[in-house]
Amino acid sequence: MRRARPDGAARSAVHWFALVVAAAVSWVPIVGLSWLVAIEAPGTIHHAEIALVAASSRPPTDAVWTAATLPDDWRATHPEAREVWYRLRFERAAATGDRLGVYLPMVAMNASVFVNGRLVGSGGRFTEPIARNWNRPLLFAVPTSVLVPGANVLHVRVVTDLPGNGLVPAPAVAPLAVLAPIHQRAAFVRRTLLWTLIVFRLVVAAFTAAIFVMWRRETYYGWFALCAVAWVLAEVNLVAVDIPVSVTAWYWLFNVAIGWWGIFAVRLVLSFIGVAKPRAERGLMIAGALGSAALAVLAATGSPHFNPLAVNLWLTLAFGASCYLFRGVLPRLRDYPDAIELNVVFVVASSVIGCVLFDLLMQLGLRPRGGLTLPPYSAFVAVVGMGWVLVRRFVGALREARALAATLEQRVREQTAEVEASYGRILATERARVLSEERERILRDMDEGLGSQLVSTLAMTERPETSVEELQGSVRAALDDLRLVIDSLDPLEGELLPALAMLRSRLQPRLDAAGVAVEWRVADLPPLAGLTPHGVLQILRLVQRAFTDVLSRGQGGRLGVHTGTEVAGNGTRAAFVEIVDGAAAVVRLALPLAEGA
Amino acid sequence: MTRPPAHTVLLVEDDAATRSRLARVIERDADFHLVGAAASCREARERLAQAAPDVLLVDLGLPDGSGIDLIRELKQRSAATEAMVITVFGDEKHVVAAIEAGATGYVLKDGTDRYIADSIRELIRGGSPISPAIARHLLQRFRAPAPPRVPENGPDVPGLTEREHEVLALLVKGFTFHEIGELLGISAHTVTTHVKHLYVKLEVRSRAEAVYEALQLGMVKSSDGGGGARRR
Repeated sequence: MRRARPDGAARSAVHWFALVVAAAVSWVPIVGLSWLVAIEAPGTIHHAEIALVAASSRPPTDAVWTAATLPDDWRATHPEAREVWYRLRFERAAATGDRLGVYLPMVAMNASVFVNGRLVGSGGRFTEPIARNWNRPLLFAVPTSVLVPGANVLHVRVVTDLPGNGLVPAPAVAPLAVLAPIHQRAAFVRRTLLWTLIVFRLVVAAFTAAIFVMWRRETYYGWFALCAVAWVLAEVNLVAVDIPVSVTAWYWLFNVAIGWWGIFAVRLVLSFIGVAKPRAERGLMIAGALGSAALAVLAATGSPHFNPLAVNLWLTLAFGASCYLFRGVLPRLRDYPDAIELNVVFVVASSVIGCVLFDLLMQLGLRPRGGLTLPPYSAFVAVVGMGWVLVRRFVGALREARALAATLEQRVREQTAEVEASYGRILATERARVLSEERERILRDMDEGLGSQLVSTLAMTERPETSVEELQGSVRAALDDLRLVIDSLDPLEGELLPALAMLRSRLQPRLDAAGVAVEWRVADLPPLAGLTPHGVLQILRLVQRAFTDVLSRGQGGRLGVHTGTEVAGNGTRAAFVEIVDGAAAVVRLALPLAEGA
Repeated sequence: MTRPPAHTVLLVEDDAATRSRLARVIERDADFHLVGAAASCREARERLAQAAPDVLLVDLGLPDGSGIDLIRELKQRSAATEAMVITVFGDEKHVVAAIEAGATGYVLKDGTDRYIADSIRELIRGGSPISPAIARHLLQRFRAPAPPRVPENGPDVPGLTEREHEVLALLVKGFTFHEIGELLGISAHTVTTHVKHLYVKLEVRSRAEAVYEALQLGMVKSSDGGGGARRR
């Protein structure tokens, strides 16, 4: 036990170190991109003169020009300026025939470029809302006709959206063939890659939103979709050039989107790792709603405090709030260091929050502006990492569901088999009961008829005076009774006539031989009530006795068998069976009809 | 005036006393010539291999097999031979099974000598006996839908004619052949002929049902299934 503690601590230290390294490694490609776009182009000019003149055409030569160094961040140099003119000089060798270009890595917000007083290019609209080029590299080709051998003058007019928000990088003037690849590289990083990541996130958001709609129990799919959408909205500011709303509304949208991005990220992570902090979560949502509303009021009223509050307070608070997710992740990681999903969530969160912190420092003026905005590039790590985790969990849930379904099917099969077995047992018991009752009945019937007849025959054989004919008659009577028992076993379903018909067919040869004429006057009988095999047998025995009585006389004669229905004394319909010997009815049976007959 | 040649009869009965009695009844009748009295299936097959008789009088429960198998074998070999079952009870279950195999009559073992001889004679003349229980079974059997023709262009599976239906309905109620003949305005012999036709139809129908069921179970192919159904 004593040794387990240091081993555990050492393992824990290694684990945390590995996580930090993983997060740092995730920053490597982002830092690489940042470095790539920061490489200064050949022909970059750092020295310029500036004139604080608001004019769409080149300032007059007698305007006041003062020396300046580029890049020029107006927050430090001209906090109140909305428009500044820059004048730069460059040399053009007489012998060179190369086409020249003017390259601006970015400009906040818009610029138009003049060479020797002639306009060679512009970043877009100069009227409100002006074109936004703060994350867009600009390259303008300079017509050869405007250049002169020796000293040439480059004028750059820069206009920004808010006072002091301007940022002018050091432009480069060099052969177009040299600047074009640099421009393409920067455009790929700052524009194409961003658009790709935006589309990528929207697709993933749509996918997870669809999962959430169909499977609302797992709320983190919904939070993931909201988080991705808020993030994309915040980044439209990086790629939009011509905005469809006023600058104030645009900045409100941008700041609010960033704030909700942080809130949704917290809800996503806490929901995903299964940590419930209802008060904190509710507080975050309320704070987000109130903050968004307050910023909307400030923006709508044109308050000068909107921008400082939005950047210095709102974004800082949003960043701090998003760090709250570590309150859920870190304790879980301590308890379950081997949980791969938790480790991935930690690395992703660290990677994104690190990039956001880097960007926040720039927004707060604590590090120079103009470099690459990093958070969008962490989207790849975030979406791939979280996407992998979500898909893994989704697949796990599917497997679990399939396993549960298989278990359920197995249980249903077992239950079905059990029910069938029980049913089979019940049937077998019922069958055994019915068989037993039927066996008893047959034995009873045979005892009364066949058994008695055989005993009687046996007694006859013991008497010397018994003739063969008498013995034959006795054996035949036994055989007849056995046949009656067999016929009574036929399923008659309440019908008596087939049983009577069968009796006649058996006795008819003997009746014919004895010269007994049969008057078979039978009408169809409706189904009779309670016509059990035993009941049928009793009726047949009565009828057979009447037949054998006539046969035993050996005098021929006429035997009538009549069936039909009649109305009984109590007014109910009943079936009747009548045996008439000569003119006298020797048997008359009234039988109740089955219900509904 | 020359007497027509006696009809050959082969008797198959395992009980010696019954066999002896039946043999005596047949031998005494000038219309019949007993060609053999076998006590088992094996003996019967040996006799049948030599010559097919006009009438096979066969018990169902034999020590080395069933009389039904003998009837089936005989009908495949000699369709002209009439098969008649010897039975104690004339019960529906055994008699119907024999008819489906090709028998066209039955005779009760405890019948009088005259009854037995007349029954065989009636069979040869084209008539067949029937009990109300068997008639009831036939009515129910033919009321059920017939199996499809196998193969599809094969012969129809026979059903009941209106007259056959009337005859059966009256038989079920216990009327004799004579009474039925009077009720329907036909001779008693015609009634027994109807019964014999019914037996043949039952045999064909049961064969068709057997082939159809085998087809359903995939035991035979349609191309060869119909031949078996039609072969007689």
